[in-house]
Amino acid sequence: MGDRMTEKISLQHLSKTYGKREILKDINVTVNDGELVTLIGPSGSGKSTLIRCLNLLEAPTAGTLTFNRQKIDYKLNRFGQLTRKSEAQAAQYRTKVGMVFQQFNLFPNRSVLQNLIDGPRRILKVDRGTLEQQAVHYLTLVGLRDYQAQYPAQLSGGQKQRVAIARALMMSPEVLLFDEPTSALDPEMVNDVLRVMLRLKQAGMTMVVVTHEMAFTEQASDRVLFLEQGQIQFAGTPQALQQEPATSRVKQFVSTLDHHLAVS
Amino acid sequence: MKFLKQVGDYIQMNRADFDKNLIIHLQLSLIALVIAIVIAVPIGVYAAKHAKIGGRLIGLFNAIRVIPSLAILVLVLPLMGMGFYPALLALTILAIPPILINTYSGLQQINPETLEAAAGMGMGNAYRLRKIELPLAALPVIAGVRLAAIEVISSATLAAFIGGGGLGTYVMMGMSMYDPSIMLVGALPVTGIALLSELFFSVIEFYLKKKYGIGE
Ligand SMILES: Nc1ncnc2c1ncn2[C@@H]1O[C@H](COP(=O)(O)OP(=O)(O)OP(=O)(O)O)[C@@H](O)[C@H]1O
Ligand SMILES: [Mg+2]
Repeated sequence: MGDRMTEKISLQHLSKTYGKREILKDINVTVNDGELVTLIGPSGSGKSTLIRCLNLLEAPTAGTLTFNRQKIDYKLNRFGQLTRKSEAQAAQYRTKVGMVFQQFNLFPNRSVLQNLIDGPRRILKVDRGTLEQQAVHYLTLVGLRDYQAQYPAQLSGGQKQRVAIARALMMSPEVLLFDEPTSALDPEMVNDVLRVMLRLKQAGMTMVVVTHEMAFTEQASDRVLFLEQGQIQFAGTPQALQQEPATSRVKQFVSTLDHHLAVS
Repeated sequence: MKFLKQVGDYIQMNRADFDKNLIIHLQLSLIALVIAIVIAVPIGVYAAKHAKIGGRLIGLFNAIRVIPSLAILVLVLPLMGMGFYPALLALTILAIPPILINTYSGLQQINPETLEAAAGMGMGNAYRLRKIELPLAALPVIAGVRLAAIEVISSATLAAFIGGGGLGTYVMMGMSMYDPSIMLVGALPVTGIALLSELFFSVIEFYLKKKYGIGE
């Protein structure tokens, strides 16, 4: 990171309501280029909703979304969802802001290689040969070079998640969002996935990660955001988090989580 | 055994006539099935994408499903008269509901999160439908076609009652002549075709399941 940080993605005065319930209240988040920001908070606090607003999988009820300092415009229909036109524009935008889900969400009818290639082939219109090379590169990066021909049903959870990360990378995104990427995994597979994420961080990827893995959070994140009842109650570096008084909301929340081993 | 020999002899002696009826039976079944697929799959997709109208459409076709096949065949009589085409229409109507309903439920069963992942990487709706949703719904759709095929193949036997021809001709003839062996000239091949159709679709289903690594 240079002296002056370049802003990558930001949400200002974000609010999200479902019916009458305000799920997110006047949230302000800015993520700089190459930063890893973790989002922690109790269940139902709005973490998923917030991270999904960042790539418009969820439509903010109000607020300004900017990417590379440019405003991303969108319109809502009367159901509070993106209009058809905005949805099409959002599809464009989402190629730059990839998402990795808790449940991996691979395409079960496509092989590992096809899972990686389908999206960029059609959306970015890159030729097949180039994509296959790129796919091998990313599968090697996540340690699954030999799994190209397998189908998702034949993989373990940890392997699926690493394929999902490789698939997201295939779109050459500038930002990657992770919504509890290790929560559905057996403990012995968690580190395989976290290690891949660390490697991406070292390679300069901008990331926003919803997680309960405090060891990873302390070790890898530049900043931690603590969300409670739709509001950011703490924002700061992992060091600053450590120095919060034990009576603070965020410290109390963290003390309820187990501290796993550090990622090796 | 005696019956079987009589059936064989009858077919030998009436070879041209038998072949003609066999072909009509196959044509009726196959064309009805193809038309039904072409109509039912798009309606099923539409129904799955439009929750409100979709639910009603499915209710309607579920109701059609309850009408016995002979009744549908007889109902087209006043509309189109006797012959091949009225029989074809009736069989098509019979074949639509199972395919439509399975297309609908097949699409509904897809994990919405899988589709979200597709949207999350910027796939548009049409592409997602073609590349992800329809292939994922393929197994239920094929199961629907398999049901429809059995229905059509067996109901095509009734087509003879409205002058549509086919193997039912021998069933009718045998009945009026009190000769069970002539009835079998129609009934045995129909059974054979039905079994072959089952075999054909189960091979496709087996192959797809294996390809996707999905267990039984
Ligand atoms: N589509 C929706 N319609 C109505 N309410 C919703 C919808 N999606 C989420 N909510 C509500 O918004 C609140 C925040 O949900 P969200 O999924 O963002 O929480 P979370 O912090 O990710 O929780 P968890 O840790 O359990 O994943 C919850 O109270 C949830 O019930
Ligand atoms: Mg969540």
